[in-house]
Amino acid sequence: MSRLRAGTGNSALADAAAAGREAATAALAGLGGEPPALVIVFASIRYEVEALLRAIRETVVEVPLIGCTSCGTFESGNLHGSDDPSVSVAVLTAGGYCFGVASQPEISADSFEKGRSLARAAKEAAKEAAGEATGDGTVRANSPHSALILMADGLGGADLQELLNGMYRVAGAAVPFVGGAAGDDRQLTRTLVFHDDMVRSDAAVALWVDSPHPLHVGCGHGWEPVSPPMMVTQSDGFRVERIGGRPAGEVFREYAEAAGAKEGFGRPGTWSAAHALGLIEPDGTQLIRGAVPEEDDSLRTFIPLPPYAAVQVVTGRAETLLDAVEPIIAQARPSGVDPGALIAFSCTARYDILGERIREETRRLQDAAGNAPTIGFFTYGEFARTVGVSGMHNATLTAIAL
Amino acid sequence: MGGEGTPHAVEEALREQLRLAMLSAQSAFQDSARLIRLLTILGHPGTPEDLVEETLITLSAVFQIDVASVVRVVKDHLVVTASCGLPEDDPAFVVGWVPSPTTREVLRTGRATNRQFPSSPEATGPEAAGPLSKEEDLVRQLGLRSAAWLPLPGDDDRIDHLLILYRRREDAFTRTEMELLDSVASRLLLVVQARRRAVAMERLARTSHALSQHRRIGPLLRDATRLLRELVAAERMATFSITNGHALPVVQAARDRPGTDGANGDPPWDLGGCPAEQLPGWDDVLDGSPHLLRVERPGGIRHLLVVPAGSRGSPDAVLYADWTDLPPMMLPTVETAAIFATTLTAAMQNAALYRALSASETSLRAITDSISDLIAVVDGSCRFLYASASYDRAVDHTPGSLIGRSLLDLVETEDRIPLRNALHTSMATASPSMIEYRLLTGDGRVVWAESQLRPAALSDRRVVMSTRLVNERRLREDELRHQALHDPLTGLANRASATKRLEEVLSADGPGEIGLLFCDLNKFKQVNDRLGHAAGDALLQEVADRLRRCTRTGDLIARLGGDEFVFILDGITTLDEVMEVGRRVAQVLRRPFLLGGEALEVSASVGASVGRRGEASPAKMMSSADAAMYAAKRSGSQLDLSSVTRVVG
Repeated sequence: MSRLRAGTGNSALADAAAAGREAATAALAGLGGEPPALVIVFASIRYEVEALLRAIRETVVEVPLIGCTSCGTFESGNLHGSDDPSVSVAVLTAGGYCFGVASQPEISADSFEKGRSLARAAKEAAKEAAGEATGDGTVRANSPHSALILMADGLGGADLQELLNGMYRVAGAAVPFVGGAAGDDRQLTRTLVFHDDMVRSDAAVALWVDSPHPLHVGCGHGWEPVSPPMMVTQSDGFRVERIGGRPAGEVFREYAEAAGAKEGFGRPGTWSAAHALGLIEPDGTQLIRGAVPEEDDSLRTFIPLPPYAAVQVVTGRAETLLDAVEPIIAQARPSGVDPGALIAFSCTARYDILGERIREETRRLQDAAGNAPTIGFFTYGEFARTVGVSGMHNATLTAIAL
Repeated sequence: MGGEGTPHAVEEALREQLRLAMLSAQSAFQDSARLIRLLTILGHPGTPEDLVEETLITLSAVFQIDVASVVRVVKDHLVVTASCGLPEDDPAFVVGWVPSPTTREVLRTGRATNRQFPSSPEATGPEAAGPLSKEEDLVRQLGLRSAAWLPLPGDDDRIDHLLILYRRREDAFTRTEMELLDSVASRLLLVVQARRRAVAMERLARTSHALSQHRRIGPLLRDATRLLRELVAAERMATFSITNGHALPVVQAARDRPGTDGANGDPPWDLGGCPAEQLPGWDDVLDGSPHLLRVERPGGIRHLLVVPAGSRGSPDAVLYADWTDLPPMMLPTVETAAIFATTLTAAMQNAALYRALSASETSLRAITDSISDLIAVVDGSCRFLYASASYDRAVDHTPGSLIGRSLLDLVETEDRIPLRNALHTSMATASPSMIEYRLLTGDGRVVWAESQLRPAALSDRRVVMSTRLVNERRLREDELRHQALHDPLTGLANRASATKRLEEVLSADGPGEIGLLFCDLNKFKQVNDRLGHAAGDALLQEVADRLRRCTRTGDLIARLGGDEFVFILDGITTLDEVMEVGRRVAQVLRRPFLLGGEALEVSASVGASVGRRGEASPAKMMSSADAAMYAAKRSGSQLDLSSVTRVVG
């Protein structure tokens, strides 16, 4: 049971500083006068981001800030697409938690070690925050549960799975992860992460939360398999060459078309958001792996597949995608009690599939969160680790309730 | 709706079957994929530690394991050596876990096991009796519901390590999964052992290079001790060198003084060493191979790895690696130590040989440097392999500048081929010889050298040269030779030379015949008397110069004495050729000679003889020509060639 309070705000003003100020002021207002402990910012890359953050930090003073660029944001049931640049801000009180924020530059080099050092730094920062107990009388010493929230630049060449593995080495099985890879309004050029007034690419920012009660991460996608299970028989990192002995592109097209893929599906270089590969998990569910057909009839994935992976071709239909929202949020709040805030990460692929109906996702998300303000953004990949070391997802919705 | 048998029900039933079929296929694919992924990981290159880590990560992924750990069995608890799922600062890595009852059972029976845990953390039972182990804490903290234990046997099938997998999923590990895990575990062990061996081999290879650099035993043994310690991960080391049955400790470093009490209260080794037989494990040391030894000490039991080095039966050194507890998997370690010992022995022998060679080289150098002769060794290509310091003193070439250069480069061109032939003959026939040649010195002079050539004992392509400079003698000889054959005043050949030449041409083969022309100056005595000997000499020199111009190539002109000159014509075919020379003589003498301001007219009388090669004798020819010349003088004609006599016999 948390006593955390949160407020959210959004602004689509053209001037970055003005937008930042407007959004932050609205968010701060939601705290009812309680002191803020954390600021979360999701913004369009089309803003002059340094100015944006400066304005926010002038509004919510001396409070740790994390965030990143996006392909659209949502807060408290409102969708803010990427047609016009906008910024969504959430401000949270401490509410019995200890927040520790850290960032790590140059994650593309030696990603595993960078992950380790990022997790260590964030964990340390949370301990320090615990050491500075504020005057609200909360005994912070007894916070045996933790969670990690992570935002990273996935376009800078970092091996994000290795980054997660490194963080896992430090955190261990008891600490769930959640988060997303930053977006850039679908330009696929450059994404940025924020930590206080630092704005960087090829970097990651992490929030370590120490909590008196267990924290849960919800994760799901609502995609369905449309092929029998098959084995990837030839692959090389990001390239899937053969599935079941046949050219991967051919296999993909065959099943996708049988499942109703549109005309022109599977042309090299074009990505159809509604079809993907599903990596079969030990419990029978699939991890979605977006795939783009290439000239030579291979498939290029955004996350490398392990060699000899067992896969199925999967498809995402608007109905099932939307129906998955409530169960996912329920995973994040198993006790049923309204959380203080809900942070969610939704994939840009879901936005592409749902089209206009994306507003329904945002709404259902808020409904499932109850009275808790929600904030989130559309990512280029999601992080959610609850069991084992996996943790990288595509086309997935993932959330954590604080 | 409809009951059984309706299209809807049938459809439903089919869908259900399809779903089950799909699940079954999925499951089959998963099992195959898992196995392949795990086997693939086991084939990746990398260190043993990397391998274990990657395997744990893959196990975690394919089995949805929350905590996968490799634990090492140390006496009464378990130390985690690698884990996927434990935070890196978990005390289990350092302090370890108290084993749970299930773990104890697995250690006892050596069989893989799996279990499920009750969901309620408060549940008590026989398992929870007794003090809580850390293992159980983990189970509670993470809400783990099932686990699998897989033993990893070590030497002598002792269970040294366990692979323990925990997960939060309720369902137990299936039999298929257990079999799969068991086979992965045993493969993992084999691969790790193989990798460890490979790492040890690689280290050994580098070690042997490092050890063979040493020339002295002390630093060699110190280095070897350090290297062995790293190779076998010993807690402590002690090394002894053995000379004449006496063992002396090898000092490690300033802080490692012999005689220091170990922390465990070991008795100190004597500062002065001890008789070799008193070293621990001496009987087996004589056998020559490394072996393990367990010794009782006041501080407790120590486990030693005894590594002798040197010839079997008489080691020159013994190295001791020392542990409180014997580490697991000692078999590969003992093998590694055996190879190391061989390497060390080779390095020690190498150092001894080098020292001996160095000593003999030094004494040789002392000898060669002190003698004044130039000593050199050249190879089959006439290149210097060695040159003594005297080359510098005597001919201004430093030995350093000579090594690798061809000797022939320093030799006067004409003398090169003879010298080279002499060297090759010496090499080929293995017999000594002597040769003289001219040498170019470093400061641009040419000197005569006389070398004794002796083939080198060890190879047939090397020659030892012992050289003396003989310039003065040679020049003297040349001078004498010249003097012996030439007239000092005019520089023409002398009588002896002419006689010799005449003999040579008369006995040689060749075209034509031999002509002899005698030439006597008329009234020379008067000139001498009137103007003096100096003028007379000057006149003779001038005459000689003019007469020189009358010779053809191959002819010899000589002064027989006084005012007599002779031409030896080699290879004449007609008498006219002889006459021609005579006519020229007359012509050159026609022009007056300028002497002391006076113009003198000088004429000569000429007589000739001709003889066949192999027939005419030099004496006869000389006397005939002489007679002809006198006849001409008496008759007053300068040249009486009607009296050119043919000499026969």
